[in-house]
Amino acid sequence: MMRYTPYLASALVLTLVAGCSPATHSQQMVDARRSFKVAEGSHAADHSPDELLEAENLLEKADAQKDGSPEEVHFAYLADRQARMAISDGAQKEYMAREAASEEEYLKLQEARGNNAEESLARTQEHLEEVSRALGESDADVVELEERKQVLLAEKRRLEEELGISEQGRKDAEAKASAAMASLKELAQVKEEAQETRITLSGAVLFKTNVAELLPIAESTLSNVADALKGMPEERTVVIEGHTDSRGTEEHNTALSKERAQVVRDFLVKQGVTESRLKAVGRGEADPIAKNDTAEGRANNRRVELIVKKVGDEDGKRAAK
Amino acid sequence: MNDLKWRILGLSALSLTTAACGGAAVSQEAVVAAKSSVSAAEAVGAKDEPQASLHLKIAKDDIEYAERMIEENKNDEARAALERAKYDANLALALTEEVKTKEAAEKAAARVQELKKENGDLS
Repeated sequence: MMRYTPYLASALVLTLVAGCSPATHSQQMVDARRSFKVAEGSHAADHSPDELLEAENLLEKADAQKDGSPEEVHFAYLADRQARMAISDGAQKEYMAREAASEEEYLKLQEARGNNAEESLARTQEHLEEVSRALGESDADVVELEERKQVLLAEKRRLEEELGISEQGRKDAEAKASAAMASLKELAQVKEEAQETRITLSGAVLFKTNVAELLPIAESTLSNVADALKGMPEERTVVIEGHTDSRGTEEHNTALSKERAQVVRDFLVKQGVTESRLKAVGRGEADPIAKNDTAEGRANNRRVELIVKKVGDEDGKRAAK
Repeated sequence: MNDLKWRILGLSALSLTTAACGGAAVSQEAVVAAKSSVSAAEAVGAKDEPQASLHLKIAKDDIEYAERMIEENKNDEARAALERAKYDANLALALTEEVKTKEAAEKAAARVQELKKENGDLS
């Protein structure tokens, strides 16, 4: 009996397949199915879910029409184009992510190079002094030492030039960060204090009411925040505080504010801010900045604050180099 | 009285013809939507990318066809052609943008490689 099971199974499958797919399917339907399948396996699946969903809806619409009818052909045609558009859209977003990653790596390399060049310059300087001392002490190898001195001097000039270049890279990054900070000031309240910079983002522009889900508009605001953070020295850590108004239970508010802070943190990490710099905390209703008895006051209390710490004295450190 | 009869007959004949030839009039918005999708694709340079320019061409041909169908009162056909045109134009736009973002990503990666090589030479 056992050995007949596979035959039975395949006979059953054949019957099912034959039952499901009459031979009258249009070429457009075949194309649309194929394109959609490719799209499902492409970057559209993670980057362009909405576009993919529309393709799926069109495919279902085509499927619902009579086989081989002009309506089926029409919707299958649209589904095919939409699926291919989704593939392309997903690819675009993937390329953009790769470009951003490369940009970041480039800046890091440039910074590392600056540090290398500074060290090499110090070493070269030392050698140079040694050679000069030796030159003064002995007459024997004067020519050889003079040659070494020339080589070292050339190396020194090259390294100094190198440093000039990496200086430019650092300036570019800083310019980008301060531009991001400037546009941020239009979207959020930014307060510079002695030990920290406090960025206050109104909850109304970030989240839907009572849920921890970002509004589409929040993403552009937070992208600016991310750019500004990326442009700052890595030592500057950021505490992301979620705040709510006093409506609802304290427990719920604390949990909601924590979750919202976490969502902001996740978004910033996705935008390339170093994960270890960011800490998310939920402060609930504990720390209002306005009275909770008016709608306006409550709106002000619903917010996310980013506290960017100033570690050490950056300007002083740089000047000392 | 006779005159009125003829008029009514004429009107019903006209509406019958319209119905037979395919549905309600095509809205001006549908035409504009398809055309503006084509303009958007053209604006990003779709005609310079082989794949994209193919779909741009299909979209433009479909719009032309739709306009002819509107004149012939074949409104359902016109509507379908406009819809196809919109999807083809959107595809053309996406394909063009894809090529551009790909180039930008490759350029950025090449810049990193170059710097890595220079850094390697340095140490």
